[in-house]
Amino acid sequence: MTEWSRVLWKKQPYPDNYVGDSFLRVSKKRREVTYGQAFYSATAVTQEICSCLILVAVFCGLSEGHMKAAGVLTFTAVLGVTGYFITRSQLRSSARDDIKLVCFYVALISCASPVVKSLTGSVATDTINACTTALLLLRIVHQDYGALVAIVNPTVSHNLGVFASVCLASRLGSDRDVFALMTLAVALFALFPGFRKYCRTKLGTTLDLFFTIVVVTVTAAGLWLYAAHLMPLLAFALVTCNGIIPALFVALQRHKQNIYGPWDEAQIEDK
Amino acid sequence: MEAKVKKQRHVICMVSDFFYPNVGGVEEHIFQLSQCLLGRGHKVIVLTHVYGDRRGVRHMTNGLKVYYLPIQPFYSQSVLPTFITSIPLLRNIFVRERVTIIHGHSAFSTMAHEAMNLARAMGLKSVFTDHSLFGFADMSAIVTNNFLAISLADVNHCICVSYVGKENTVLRANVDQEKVSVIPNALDTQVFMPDPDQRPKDKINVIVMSRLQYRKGVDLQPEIIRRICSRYPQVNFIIGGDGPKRSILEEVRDEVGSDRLELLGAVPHANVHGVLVKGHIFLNTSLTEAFCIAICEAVCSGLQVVSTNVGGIPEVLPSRLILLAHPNVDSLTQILDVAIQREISGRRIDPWAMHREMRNLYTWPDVARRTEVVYDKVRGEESSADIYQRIPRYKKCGLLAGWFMMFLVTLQFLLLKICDRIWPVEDIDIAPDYPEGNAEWSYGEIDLNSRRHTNSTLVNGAPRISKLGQIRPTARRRIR
Repeated sequence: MTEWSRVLWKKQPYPDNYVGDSFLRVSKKRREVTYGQAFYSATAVTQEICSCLILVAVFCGLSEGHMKAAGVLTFTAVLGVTGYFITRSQLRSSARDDIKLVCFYVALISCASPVVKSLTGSVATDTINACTTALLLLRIVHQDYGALVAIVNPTVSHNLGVFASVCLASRLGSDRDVFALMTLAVALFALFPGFRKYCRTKLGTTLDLFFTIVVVTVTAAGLWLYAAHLMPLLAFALVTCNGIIPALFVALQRHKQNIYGPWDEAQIEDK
Repeated sequence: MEAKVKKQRHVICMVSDFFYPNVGGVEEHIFQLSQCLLGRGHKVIVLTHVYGDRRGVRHMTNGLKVYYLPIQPFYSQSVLPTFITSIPLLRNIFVRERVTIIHGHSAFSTMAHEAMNLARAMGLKSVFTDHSLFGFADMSAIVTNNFLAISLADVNHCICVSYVGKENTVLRANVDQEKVSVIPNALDTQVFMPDPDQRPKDKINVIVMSRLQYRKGVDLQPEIIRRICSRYPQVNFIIGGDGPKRSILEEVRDEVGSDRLELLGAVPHANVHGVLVKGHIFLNTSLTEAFCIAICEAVCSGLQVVSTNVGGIPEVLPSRLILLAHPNVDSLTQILDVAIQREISGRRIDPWAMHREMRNLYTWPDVARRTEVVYDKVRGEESSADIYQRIPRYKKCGLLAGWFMMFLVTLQFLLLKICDRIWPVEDIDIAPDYPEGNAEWSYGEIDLNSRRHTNSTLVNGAPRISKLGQIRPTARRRIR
């Protein structure tokens, strides 16, 4: 018997339902992900959660009077300047433009502080708490962690962060407290994600892990000192986000099956 | 009467949502296949849904009986799949026409799936033909594949139009490989003949004939047209067909001029040959295609063919009759260039030689013969309609779908019993076969005494009919 060939125009002496060797030429693609890779990628989410919790901790400290506005401002300034010097090579604008931008921000926020202070006078505290929680959660959801999916929207994420900080800051006592918290919020929500991206891409994994540990320690310390009731939340978040969910992802990845074959629509490349 | 092999006569019921007066590939396939099967001596009826005013029973060429059932189309020309409300009507039709095999067409046709399912419940055999390819990636594909898997869990045999189609069906509906046959489509070679006088001698015409939508690769065409028009002043394009992407071709027409690019709009199938013979080269830019009968029609009419090598197209024609390219602008332009050069230098195959070669490749009588082989195989299968044997076949559909189908199948069984009570089989009038003359034998060869069961429709094979004896004497007359 002649070789069976996979063509329709030949009259072949095989029955119509014959199964030849070249049947089922499919390609099954699946990216193999190890637990270490998943764990490392999840540290980005952990850092984001920690930055939100730092904001809440500072708010608790300020509103209860344990922290002084000046202290918060120095802390923010030190962080900002350190981050700026580390990412100097990345920045395209000149030092003068950056200083002008900082001055502009300071002026804007200090003018806005009295307005923000009296913003939510008629709103109940429970509403404020619930609103802030929801906004910070949404912010964590929409943040850009490096994946190109539809749910990522850096603008929405940033706006939600600022909105949450406005909600919190409007509960504080003095104008200076409000100014300090808003500056910290800008540093955490507008500048920190960019710094994190720079760390991941340019500085290597060990430095990035070191930064993560620093951030987590600072958050834990802040919560311990000023908002002890949130410590279990931090522990739960760390364990779930960085421990359980990567493990679940790796376990479920085994079941994922992407089958590609000659029936798929050809993709037109855009030139 | 043949003495050597006793040919079985089947009573086939073609079911699909897509039939005349709708015009398309599936509709043409059903009609031509039915005609050839009628010529081979079987009885064929067609079930479809109402088309506007067209409802009831119609007779088409050679006595093809078409039932336009009063079920309204619900979405995209298909009816709402209830599986329950159509049972009495379909059961009545299957009994009165003495159907033995139900042949469903097209995965998008919900009526076909319903009828095949009911057929299995009644103990008849079912065959399914799949005409299209499907991906696996997006949500709509996942849902459709699940429904197809449910439907094909209890089908006797599947037919696909190409080997790619067979792979696709086997993978997405979880069907055994031996249960799928590959029987290609065919075309009417008497209609598609070359006519070299219709072509201009000084110009070269490139014909494109397809629906103007994304999956036919219309986005690739503007750039190709621009490049070829600027390189070869003697080459013109004629594009037939209509669709949502017409506007981008109209833009190109404004650029190159309407004497270089002609847009014909929707071309009825009867006029396709008239357009094809005006051209020298046929261009097909589809992004996915199960079989692509258009390129076969073009080769049959004596045109050179340039096509993308997607889906089942590489399997269809030998390499001397087709030039294959990758689905991008550069590759298609380069291959089209080769074809134009061959046309200019005259080194192309003679159109009548192409037609002669094509004439024997894909013909409807051949398709009908191979389909008859499938019917014979299916007829001899021992697959019972007994409920205890039917339910385990749905186990492989998974937890949710499998249990749902088991419930549905039990409900069907109960409803059939109720129908047997209210409308017993012996009260259903048997429709006379028309015309008797075209059949190669009379009714005498059917084995009438094989089943002496109680008056229930749940038997293996054809339902037993008591009134058949009354029709026998008249049917012996042969009209040729």
